[in-house]
Amino acid sequence: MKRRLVEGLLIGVLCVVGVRVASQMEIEERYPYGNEALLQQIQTLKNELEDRQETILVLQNENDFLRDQTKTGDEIANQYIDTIEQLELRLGYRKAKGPGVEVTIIEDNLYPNMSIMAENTDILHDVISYLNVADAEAVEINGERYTSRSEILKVGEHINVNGISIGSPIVIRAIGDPDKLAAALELKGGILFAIENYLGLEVSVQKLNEMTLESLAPQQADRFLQGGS
Amino acid sequence: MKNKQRMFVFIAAIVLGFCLIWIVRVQEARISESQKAELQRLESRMEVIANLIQTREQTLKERKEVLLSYQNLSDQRETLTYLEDELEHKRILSGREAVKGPGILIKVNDRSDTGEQVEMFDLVHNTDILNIVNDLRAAGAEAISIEGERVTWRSKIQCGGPIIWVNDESTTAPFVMKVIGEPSVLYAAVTAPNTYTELLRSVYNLEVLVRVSENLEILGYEGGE
Repeated sequence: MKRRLVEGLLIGVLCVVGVRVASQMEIEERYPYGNEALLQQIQTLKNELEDRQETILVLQNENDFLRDQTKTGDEIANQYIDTIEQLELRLGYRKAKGPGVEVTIIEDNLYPNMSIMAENTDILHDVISYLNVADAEAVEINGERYTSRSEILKVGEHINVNGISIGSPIVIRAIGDPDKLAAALELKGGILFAIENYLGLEVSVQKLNEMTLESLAPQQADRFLQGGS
Repeated sequence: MKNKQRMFVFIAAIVLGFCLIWIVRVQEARISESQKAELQRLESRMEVIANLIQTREQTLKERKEVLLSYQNLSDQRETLTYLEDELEHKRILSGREAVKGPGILIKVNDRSDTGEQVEMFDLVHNTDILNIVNDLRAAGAEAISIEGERVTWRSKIQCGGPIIWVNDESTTAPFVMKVIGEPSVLYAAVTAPNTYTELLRSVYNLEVLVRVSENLEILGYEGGE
């Protein structure tokens, strides 16, 4: 009886240890050089991304210079260039300057393993919609221009805007009439009221006389869109 | 019999010893089960960054082509033609021009089997439309309209009591959305399990119909700047 108990216990312990070893082996196989190497790889990729973005800006400036040179001659060409530049501003391809508001949403560490804003990304859509109702002319979230192609997604426990991950504090900046924009957001029972009182987060709105919103590098070319009638 | 038992214990102890040493060695390599989730999160970030770099590379290529085109412009007529093309392209991107292409049609309607008692969840709200638009953008939508109103970078999709404002037009249920993009990806974005639109249908019993179309036409935004 005792012998069987010992044997049973040994087999049980061996099974547990076996499973543990198998799972460790799987981790080691997938991440052979450990966490630090992976972080280093991420940092390298980030640096590379920044380099590319700088190169894009340099090319954009060269492009503008050449386009300006064509301005000198024809009046129609000048009008075309002005309209293209206006559209590029609207599309977020150019830096935007002007007065506006800065909304800051801060998450505390009430839930260390969960982001309340990541769980409630639709609140951000609502904030932008309120800003648009108040005639915002350009919007960005944590430095990412919000355009007609922008998406706000929960990825893991953080938020991605235009594919870039952002975290607390979330800073939304909008160019437009500061009084009108602030009034739309601060309406009693409105969107900021909901963030403060229903989500329990800290929110502040600051009116600014001048701010600069970063440009968004043009996205990939359309694959399906054609001009219509 | 006793010898057999001793042999079994002996072999088991050796195997156990090897396993324990293996675990300790792996722990020393600073990879533990608890880090697995963190590593996976980092890997997904790496993937996002790698995709962004790919996008930027494409942009660089396009920019270089644009620069070359400017440098090669030989006369005024050629310049104007080039600028006209660029202007049209930018107007298409900004939603000012009518566009056509393949995509999907979505119809979202209030719940129809409620009887006299209607709850908030039985109706389509502006937040539902905002969420659907966001999911479609994430799926690469290139143009979207709601009840014929083009969704642009500054579209208002706001609650107006019994109606929803889209741009400056009032719209009511059912809401028909036209979306141009890769049809299969767009279709999956609104029908796959756990997508927002699918939850509206399966959990809240709202009427959701999705149809693929090879040729959709979406009008341009006609409102003010």
